[in-house]
Amino acid sequence: MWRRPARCRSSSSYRANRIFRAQVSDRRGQAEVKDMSVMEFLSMGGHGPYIWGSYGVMALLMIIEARQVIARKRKALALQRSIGYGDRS
Amino acid sequence: MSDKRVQWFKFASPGNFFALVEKLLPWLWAAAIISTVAGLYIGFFVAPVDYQQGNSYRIMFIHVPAAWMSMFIYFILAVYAFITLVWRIKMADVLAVSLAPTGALFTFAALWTGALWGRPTWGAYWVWDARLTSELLLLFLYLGYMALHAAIPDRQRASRAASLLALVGVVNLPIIYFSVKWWNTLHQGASVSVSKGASMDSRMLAAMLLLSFACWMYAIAVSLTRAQAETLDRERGATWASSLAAAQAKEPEGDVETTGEVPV
Repeated sequence: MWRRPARCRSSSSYRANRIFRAQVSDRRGQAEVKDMSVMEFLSMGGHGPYIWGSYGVMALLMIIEARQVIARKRKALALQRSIGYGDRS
Repeated sequence: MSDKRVQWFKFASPGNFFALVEKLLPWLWAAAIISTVAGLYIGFFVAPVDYQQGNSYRIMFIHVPAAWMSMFIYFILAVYAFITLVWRIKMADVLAVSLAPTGALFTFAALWTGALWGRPTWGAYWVWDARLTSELLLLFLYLGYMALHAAIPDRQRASRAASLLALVGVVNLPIIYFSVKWWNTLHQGASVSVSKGASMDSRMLAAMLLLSFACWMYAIAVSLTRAQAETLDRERGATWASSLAAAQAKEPEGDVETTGEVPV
């Protein structure tokens, strides 16, 4: 579990700016853990618009599709309820 | 012994299919949500930054699953199209029709995320590369299948014509998959191979596989829900649908809850 470093525990601004801890790697691919601000996280090293544009559009499409199919099923059930028992078997 | 065997053919009946899907849906949605959260956590907070591509490689966690799903769904759609043409089973056509929009969504997502990954990596959103062009053709095949099915008023003729188109389009799948081997393309080769394994960090692979699993669960849940609605639309007034609606009327607002089999 992540804990705020001792040197920053009394700082209220730390809570606002330093909330992420992420794995980064140097050029040799060695992983290390580094504290990261919200803005640093969102900018993604300058690739933020590409990354969030990808994830955002995909999430939006999936949410719209899921809502649309659930609404269609509810509508079909409501229509069936409204006509009651039919004459097909 | 034989009495305990599951009789799968009974689920070709619309009423039994509806009841079975109703039981599966909560599990499918739960699996999709849990694996999405886990995959995103590993993808953004555990997987390291790529030393060559920087953070832009994280698009791979959704780009690769979307591209895989676009091909898998088309293959399954083609199998149902074949069953529709040969054995004329109604539920096969319902399932094929229900898969097509989800397949088109994943194909579009693969192209979109690929374009946004291509810009920082290649310097271009789009190139007329064999992999990209054949994936774009797959999107047109999905759209063509849906348009053809919707354009013919007679449902039987529509399903036969659209199924034939879907089967012809299967030839595009090996072209997409092997395009990076057959031609000298800008698109990179496969990062995960059955024979060679994965050529990436295990944490990156974990995030990608979790999000692939999430896409599978999502695709199955959404397609089956659409298939339920399509079945109800086609079977409106049938005894099983009327019984289901009557049972629904007794319940408060919310999702459908059915128990056991319904009259067919």
